[in-house]
Amino acid sequence: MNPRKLRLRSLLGLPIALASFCVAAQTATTAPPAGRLLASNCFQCHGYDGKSSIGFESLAGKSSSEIYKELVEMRSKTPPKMMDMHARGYSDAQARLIADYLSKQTSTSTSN
Amino acid sequence: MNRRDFFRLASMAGIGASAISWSRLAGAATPPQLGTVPTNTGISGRVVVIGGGMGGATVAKYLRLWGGTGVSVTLVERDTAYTSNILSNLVLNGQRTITSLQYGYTNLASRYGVRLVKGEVMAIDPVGHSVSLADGSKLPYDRLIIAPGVDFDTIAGLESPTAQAKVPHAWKAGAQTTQLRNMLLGMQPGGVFAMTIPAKPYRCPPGPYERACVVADWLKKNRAGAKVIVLDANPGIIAEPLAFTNAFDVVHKGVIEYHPGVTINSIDATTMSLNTSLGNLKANVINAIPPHKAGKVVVANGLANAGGRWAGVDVLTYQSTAAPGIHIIGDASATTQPKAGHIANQEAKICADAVIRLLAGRSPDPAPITNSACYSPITADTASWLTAVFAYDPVSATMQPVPGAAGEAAGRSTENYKEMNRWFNTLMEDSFA
Repeated sequence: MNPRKLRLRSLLGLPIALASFCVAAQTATTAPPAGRLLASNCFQCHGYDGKSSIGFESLAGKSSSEIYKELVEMRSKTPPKMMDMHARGYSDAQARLIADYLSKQTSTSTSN
Repeated sequence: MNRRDFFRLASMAGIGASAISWSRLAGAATPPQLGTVPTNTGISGRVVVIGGGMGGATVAKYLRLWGGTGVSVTLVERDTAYTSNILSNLVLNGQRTITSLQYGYTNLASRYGVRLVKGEVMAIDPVGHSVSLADGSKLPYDRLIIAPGVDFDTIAGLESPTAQAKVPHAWKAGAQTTQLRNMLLGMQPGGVFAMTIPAKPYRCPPGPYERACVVADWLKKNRAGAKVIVLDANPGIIAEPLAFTNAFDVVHKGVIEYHPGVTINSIDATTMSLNTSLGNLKANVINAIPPHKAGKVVVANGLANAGGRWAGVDVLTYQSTAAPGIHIIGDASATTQPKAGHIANQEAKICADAVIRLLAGRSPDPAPITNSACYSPITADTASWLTAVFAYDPVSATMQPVPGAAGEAAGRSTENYKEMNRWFNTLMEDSFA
């Protein structure tokens, strides 16, 4: 490799290293869990973190693939019930994020 | 009233609500399904929230649940309890009491460590970052969130308090709702109940049509020959057109008379008559819902920069486009989303998440999603529903309905009516428990 190119590359790396140092200094905090904000669209009916006890189906701790499969199946149900219509609002990637987040929450014994 | 009285009253109001819908949530211990406030997030800041409705209560709770103990949250509210507008039309037909719709603030304090301050906001200092209250105290903030709900224009002819007392809008649940219920009870067979619907945007798009149905259903059973005359400023039914067209033309045929595109020139409370673009109309009961605007605190502090009526916001954070550091959520903000309690709850979560990220030096979530959902009673035991999912559109920088994910029920049903009560209880739990 051309030594001149090598020198350039190492110089280019410097600002990147500095930038990532700055980011690390700003955010000594943990990033919000992936899917949490998306999944919070479920909480109005399915309880905080999907831990329902007084309302609709509890989702916390169910398998991610099961939640994802249900969401995908709902999209084609006609005539749609409210949740069938609602499920049409999320892309495959978003449905996976929601399912993954809810599956990681601990279910509670009070759920029904 | 001192602060101790506030807490006592708030707790009494909470007990009232618990007896009806939160019986399993009563007691000092936090039920296991509700979240706890983490201690080690490393995020800190002072957030003041003005207004304890659906948006304000939810944002206060989620700031603590997601931000942790380092994020101090002070909720300023003038009332001791929130009275839900959702389901308040069922006070009119006697299916609900106002007390059953009341939710106190003690859970927010005891379970999540939200500091409650009962008071009236006098001024906001957007430069010095503080809120002044009527008692002279000041609340400093790093981020201010305002959720004041709506205020109303005065309809010509109803300028005096005496006139207003005879023509309730009952569009903020409370004493006026009970008054309208009593006026309904006082009607005679063959009487006329006239209601007016303002031009959009107003709070709860299906709400007035739902009210017409609930009132008509009650009159049909209890005051033979009585009519509901609906005068709508909009060119047609603006929410759940299938359900309400069927309700007006079939279910409540002969009881509801619906007139779109009507302008109300004035209302005379002495003669109980309305001067409208269709002519004059006399009624036994007039329920006039005036045009809406953002709550006073928004208008008075120069934040109503959308047509002088609503608060312009960036929907990634709900930060005001007029003043940095101030966020406005719920009905008072100018967005493409409906003004309603369920979506105010979701806007509150987007705002809480964004404020926490900003306090941590991060960027807000670039692709937020919100959802609106509601059920509308058509009779005393059937309901329809409406739902929509909104996604952020980076081109227009607005929330846009996701194609195919917005619509209404295929028809009214008793199953929907039962689901409505479950939905209400879970939504209120997510906001206040």
